[in-house]
Amino acid sequence: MNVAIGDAGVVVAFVASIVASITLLVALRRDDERLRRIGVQVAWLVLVGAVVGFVALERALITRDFTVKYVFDNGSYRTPPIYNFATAWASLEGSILLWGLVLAGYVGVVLTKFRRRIADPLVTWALVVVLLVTAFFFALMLGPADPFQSIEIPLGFVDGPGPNPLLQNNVLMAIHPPMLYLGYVGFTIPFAFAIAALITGRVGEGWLVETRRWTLFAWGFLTLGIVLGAWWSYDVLGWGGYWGWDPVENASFLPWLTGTAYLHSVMIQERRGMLRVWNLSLLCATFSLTILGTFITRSGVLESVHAFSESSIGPLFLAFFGVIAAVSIGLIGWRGDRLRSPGRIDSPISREGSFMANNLLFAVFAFVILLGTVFPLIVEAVQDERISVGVPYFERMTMPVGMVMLFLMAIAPVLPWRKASGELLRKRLEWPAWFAVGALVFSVAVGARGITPLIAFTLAGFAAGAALRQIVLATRRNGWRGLVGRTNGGMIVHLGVIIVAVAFAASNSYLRQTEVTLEQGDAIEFADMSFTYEGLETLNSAEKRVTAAVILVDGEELRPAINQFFSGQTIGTPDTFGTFTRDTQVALIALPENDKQVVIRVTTQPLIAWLWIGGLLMAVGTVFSAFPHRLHRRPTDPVSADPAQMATTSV
Amino acid sequence: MTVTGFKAQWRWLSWVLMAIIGVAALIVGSAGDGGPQSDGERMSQLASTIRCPQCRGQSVAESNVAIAREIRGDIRTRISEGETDDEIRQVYIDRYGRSIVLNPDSGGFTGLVWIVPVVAAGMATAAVGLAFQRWRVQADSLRAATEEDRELVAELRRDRS
Repeated sequence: MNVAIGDAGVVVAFVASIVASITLLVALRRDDERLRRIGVQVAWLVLVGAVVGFVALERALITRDFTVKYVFDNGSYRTPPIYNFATAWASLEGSILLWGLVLAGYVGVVLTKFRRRIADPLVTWALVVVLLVTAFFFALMLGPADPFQSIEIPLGFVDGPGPNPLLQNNVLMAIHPPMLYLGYVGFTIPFAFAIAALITGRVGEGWLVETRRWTLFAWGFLTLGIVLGAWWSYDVLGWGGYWGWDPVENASFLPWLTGTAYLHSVMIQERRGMLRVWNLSLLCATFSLTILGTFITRSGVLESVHAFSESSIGPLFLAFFGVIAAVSIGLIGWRGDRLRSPGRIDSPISREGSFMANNLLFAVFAFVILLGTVFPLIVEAVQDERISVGVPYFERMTMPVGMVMLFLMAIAPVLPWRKASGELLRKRLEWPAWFAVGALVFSVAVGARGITPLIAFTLAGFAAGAALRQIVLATRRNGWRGLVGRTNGGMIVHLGVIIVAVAFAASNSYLRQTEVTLEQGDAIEFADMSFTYEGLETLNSAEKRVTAAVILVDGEELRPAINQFFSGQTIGTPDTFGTFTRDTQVALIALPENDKQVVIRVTTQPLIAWLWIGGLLMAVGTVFSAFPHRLHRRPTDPVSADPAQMATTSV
Repeated sequence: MTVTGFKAQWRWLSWVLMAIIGVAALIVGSAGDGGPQSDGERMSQLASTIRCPQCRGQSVAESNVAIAREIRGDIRTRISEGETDDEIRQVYIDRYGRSIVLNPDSGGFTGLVWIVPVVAAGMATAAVGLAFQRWRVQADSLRAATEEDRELVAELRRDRS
């Protein structure tokens, strides 16, 4: 029953996306209003089909319908309800279905948002592009990634294995993947408008204005998704890590980088009509990178801890990536003459100059990560030798880029458009610079040592000073409206980024970790804290047996545990004692043989909490920057106060 | 002395003061940048640069599988026997091959992973620099009317009249 309903949903969504795109294309050619209306109605069926499919999968999971192979492979009576619900995206087929659902949701939003302007060829073409991408995903579900294969339940079958234990050990499992998908998939819309602009030849600024919010929306969710993923791994993996430069993490980070570059460089185009080719390329690159990232995740060509759901659909994604890249490059080449813009940038020391530097840095950053991620494949192909490119490489290569970015975040917000004089810079940067020195002195005073982290904190202070200066000036002038709009909201995002950067630098530089064996009643000292092992506790639940060691950390009881899932797998769960200044995490290394002694790993690092706070602030800033700031200035106008006011505020 | 003159002077002082405090703080802060403080910590740091041979994309420091625990124990023994980090790493390279270390070689073909991004960044910067150069030349040529322009205008005026 569920198989039939689900299959029906997938087929409807697939057929509807194909039929709708063809109908719309014909309507476009003949300029036929009636056909266009039919196309739109059929397009709605994509969403209907996707919802039916997803509901069928959830229904199968909730009712434990083991005749569905997906449930047979990933479901279990023991799995608690929330993880059981999230099992819908715990494995490949389900996650492709979630992708399809999100994409179909975006189709619905586009249809609603542009319902009065669907006759505009630009909008029609964009809709066609989105529908074709949707068709690709539903085609996958008809073939190699079918979530609704049926299976004959073997004799004596009692229960399925449930999802991968790592995926049922933290609530974030229910939140992180949908957020990530909202972001990842969301980049399809700006991409579709970019392609539509190229096809219709309307490569002016109109399509940009249409897609700015969409990009911001996708970017915000991608940011949130990445931060939640980091939080999840920190809570689950137990070595104090939250970002491991794993291929799959990199795959989500790459479109984030190009998307961020786009959000900045688009302002040059809106203001000066320049960089059209570059902006179109960035949007195409962002979307292509989401597909390439999925290929990396799903094909298993690279070793990753995220290899939950490998399958044979890798090559299909690679082929799809090839098509997208070829179409994008071909179209940009074809429209080359229309894309040329007459403008010029007067001086590198200007707002537009700093956006160009920003784009340079983001491009380099993305390049380093892409190269490092695929380099083992290149070496293997060329030299038939296996090498690893891991954390030490990425940290060393990205650190300088990150530092220059922080510096740029300090300078850029105070720069006016066109041209800045040295005198103006000295004036506007004075307070941010004092902020930098203050941050440095404060860091040294609280005991931070080492040149590299100290420079990072100083630059962070500098950048924070510049962001705060903008927010203070804007709120002084416009009240609460000084917090919204692109520039001001953007500065709040900057503050979030700066907080994350500081937390990242501090936790990496001052991480202390050790492994010790503790006898019952023993106490050891580490990093000015005492750790006492009190004894073991065992707890049985439906799906697992939890063996926890009670460890007293400075009087605080922590319970790191080992979970033995009845499906056969064993994973650890660390326990963390965190404050705003420091996190201490204790993990059990292995299942204790008896309650006499345990081996624990202790990790202590400062400012971890600020990673999540910074991430949240970035999300809040994104929301703020989506609201228009309609007062004295257009949001794209220079940040600035008149010199007279500056003089009074800076003395 | 005018008020603005005073302000300018004060501003100059402010930057000097900032530099002095900054440099002083950096000097204090760069002292005592302690490395690992115990064998256990040194082991953790070293283990995080060695790939776990049985895992997917995890270092020996991160993984809890048997082989990773064994390697950690072995590293710790070797540390207490006085071997240096490089010596210990070499032991594992000999045993498992180059791919056991997470830091790629800086020589040979593998070295490209370090060099190419630097070269690419340099070239991209040069390209952007060149663009600015061209824009400036453009701007310069736009700035003042040349003799030729004036003649053209004069000619057109003559024609009209």
